[in-house]
Amino acid sequence: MDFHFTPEEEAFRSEVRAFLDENLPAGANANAPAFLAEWTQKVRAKRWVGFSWPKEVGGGGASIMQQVILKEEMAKRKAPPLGTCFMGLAWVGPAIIQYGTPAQKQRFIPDILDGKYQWCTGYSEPASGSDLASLQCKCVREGDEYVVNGQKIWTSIAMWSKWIILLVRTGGLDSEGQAPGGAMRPASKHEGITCLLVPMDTKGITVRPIKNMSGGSMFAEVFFDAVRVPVENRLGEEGQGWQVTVSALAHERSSIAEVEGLRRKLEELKELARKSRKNGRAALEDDGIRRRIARFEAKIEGMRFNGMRALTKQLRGEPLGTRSGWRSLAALRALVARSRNRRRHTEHPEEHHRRARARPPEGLMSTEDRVQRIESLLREKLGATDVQVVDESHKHRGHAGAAGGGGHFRVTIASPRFAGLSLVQAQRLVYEALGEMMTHEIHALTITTRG
Amino acid sequence: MNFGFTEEQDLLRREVRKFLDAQCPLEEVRKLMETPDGFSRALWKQLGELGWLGLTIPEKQGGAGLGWVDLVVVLEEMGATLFPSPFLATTIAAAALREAGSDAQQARWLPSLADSSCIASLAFLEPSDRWDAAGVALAGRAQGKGVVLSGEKVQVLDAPSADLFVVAFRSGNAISLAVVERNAAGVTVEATPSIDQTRRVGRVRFENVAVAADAVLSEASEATLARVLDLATAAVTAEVLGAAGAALQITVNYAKQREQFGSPIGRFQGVKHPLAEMLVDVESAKSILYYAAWCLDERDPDAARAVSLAKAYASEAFARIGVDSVQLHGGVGYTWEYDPHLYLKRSKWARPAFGDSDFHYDRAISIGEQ
Repeated sequence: MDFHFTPEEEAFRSEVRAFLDENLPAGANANAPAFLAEWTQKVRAKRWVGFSWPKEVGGGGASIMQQVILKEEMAKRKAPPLGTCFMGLAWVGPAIIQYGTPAQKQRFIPDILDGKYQWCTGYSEPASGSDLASLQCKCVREGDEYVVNGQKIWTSIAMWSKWIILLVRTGGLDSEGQAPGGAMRPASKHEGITCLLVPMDTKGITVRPIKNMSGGSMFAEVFFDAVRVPVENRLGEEGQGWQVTVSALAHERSSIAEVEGLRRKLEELKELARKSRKNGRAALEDDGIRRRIARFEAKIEGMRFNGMRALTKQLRGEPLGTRSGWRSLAALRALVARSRNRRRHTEHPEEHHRRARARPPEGLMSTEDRVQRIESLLREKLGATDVQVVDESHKHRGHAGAAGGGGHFRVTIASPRFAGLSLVQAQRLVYEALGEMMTHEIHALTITTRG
Repeated sequence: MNFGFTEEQDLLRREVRKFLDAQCPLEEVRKLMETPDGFSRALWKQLGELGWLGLTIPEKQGGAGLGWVDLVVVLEEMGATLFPSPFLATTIAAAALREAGSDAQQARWLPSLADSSCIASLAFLEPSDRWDAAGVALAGRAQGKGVVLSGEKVQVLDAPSADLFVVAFRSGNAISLAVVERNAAGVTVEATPSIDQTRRVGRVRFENVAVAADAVLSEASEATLARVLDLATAAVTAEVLGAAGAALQITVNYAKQREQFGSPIGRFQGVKHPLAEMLVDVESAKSILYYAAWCLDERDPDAARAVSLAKAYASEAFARIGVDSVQLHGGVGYTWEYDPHLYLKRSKWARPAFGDSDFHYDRAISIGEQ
């Protein structure tokens, strides 16, 4: 466990902070169109738009940690978004990068990065909300074209979008939940879904905004009446739409940076409670208010550290920070070896046998090599004046150690280092000296020490 | 950045779990909780031999010199099986000796704590029910170079079996710690009946107990005491979350196996959703606790806030999980035979122990304002 960052990561964080100091000075009006246009150009030049995308398509080719650091720093400073084509950057782009043809990549990816226009997302239908795979928007192929008939709903920013990423049904279930025309019944409703990329100005598309509770409109109903889409606008194979969608949505790697936004909001909430009054004094002096805010803090910290745990799992395989932790490794190893050694001798033999068999013996030393290695390690690390190592594996034939894993050894050792130590302390020194051998090479050890 | 346990820590966890599964499963816990001692002396001795009692005790005092992150691993497992033993009490007392004792004082007492020959406990809480320095009223009157202690401590962990107490006392404005043997003249120990039979607590009275100068911990101050309480609170929280996770697991197992209306009850949203909420709470609190333990090991200034958030969250979560676990078991949840009540009772002990949610939420937000 280590919360320190590597020097390279710290350097990148400094770079981001310096950029923010220069380009997002305090008091800047981050909502002004002129400011936003300039900002977008600058972050694009840094390749921070599509930061996680491969460099060959124009992205930043960033590591997971770099993405996290960039997002965190941006959130802390309440920076404007990195790029303006929100759905294009979030999942349309990743889906095209993964499943698109070279022509599709060339046609759409640069525009998404540059924020030339908006994309909207045609997933939900009136009868298919959480259960998205039950969608029924009908699509039939006619020559080089698909013909789409049906309805989508809750389509955010449909009225301002130039393109829609659309999920339609080309096979599988019909409206009664049956396979069409008595054809082969699909194994699941996830089959027979196809993904299309469709210009919103195509004939037959009608957008009807839905008025929301605030009186404004962000999402809409979208109707498709014999809408013709060239086959070249299909993303992925016919019937592969579910896979395209799921892997694109999974592209968002981690929520860790979003938590920074919540942390900032918590500070704003505290500030508000400091200024507001309740029962004649600052609201933040009220016990009830204080505890509610502290509860938010605990929930947010829980999310933050859950995110870090998940991130650590993602990063396994990538180099991890190792600034601390190693110094106590030897002591911990010795403790584990001691516990394990003890347990093995108290366990039921059959149990013992099964456990050891489960561990593959490959790559282990021969018994003679082990005896020699034990002796040299003890002489070298403990300055032992006399060491006798006896292989007793034969006494345990038929069970664990002799059969597969490490061997059973009896060690008699004399060293001036044992002077004044308790038996337990002396034995611990022996385990420490043998270090890694205790993991595989040595199955059980009987130790006699002399000062 | 690496927020995971090392392979060795995972191995240690497995060893502790195997040991407890083999030596002290819940059937054994039920037997032990009916005995006067409430724990097994034989297992206690083994904890010393295994080196677990010395886990966080410095190497030169016979321990392994490991940190609180390592300890969390062991305590989560002990909490999961409600392992009854003075391990927590002795580990906390050892932390007090280590933080506040001179080298000579550490050498005098710590080896006996590491090898199981001495059961020790921190005597802190008083009838004032305050888990901070201001709550300490037990008087230490100077006598020669030593002090004479008079006062009372309550909810002292494993007081009935403890051989040694580390006692917080007040001399005027100063707070300090003294080491007092159980059989010292003027010390009386009285077991306090507890709702949780797997956890023994007691009341300790000090009537003009003379303490020699060399038994007053030389480095004790309000700051070291605060750190000792943070270490203790983190340790308790680790045990709490191990227990909460186990209560959840028992309930999930039951929900998968118990059928009603022709289906396992775990398929019903009324059962599924509370279980999911429990999981989120346990994992979130664990995440905060792991961070807190790391901060304590690194002496990071964020430690106190993190410890308080973890304990506050864990106290509330375990209290809810204890009740929900009984509830979701239906009728059998109210029986002696099934295990949920054991965890519910532990949650009742755990909620106020080393500060309840209100105390720790108040503390966390106050630290944030500094």
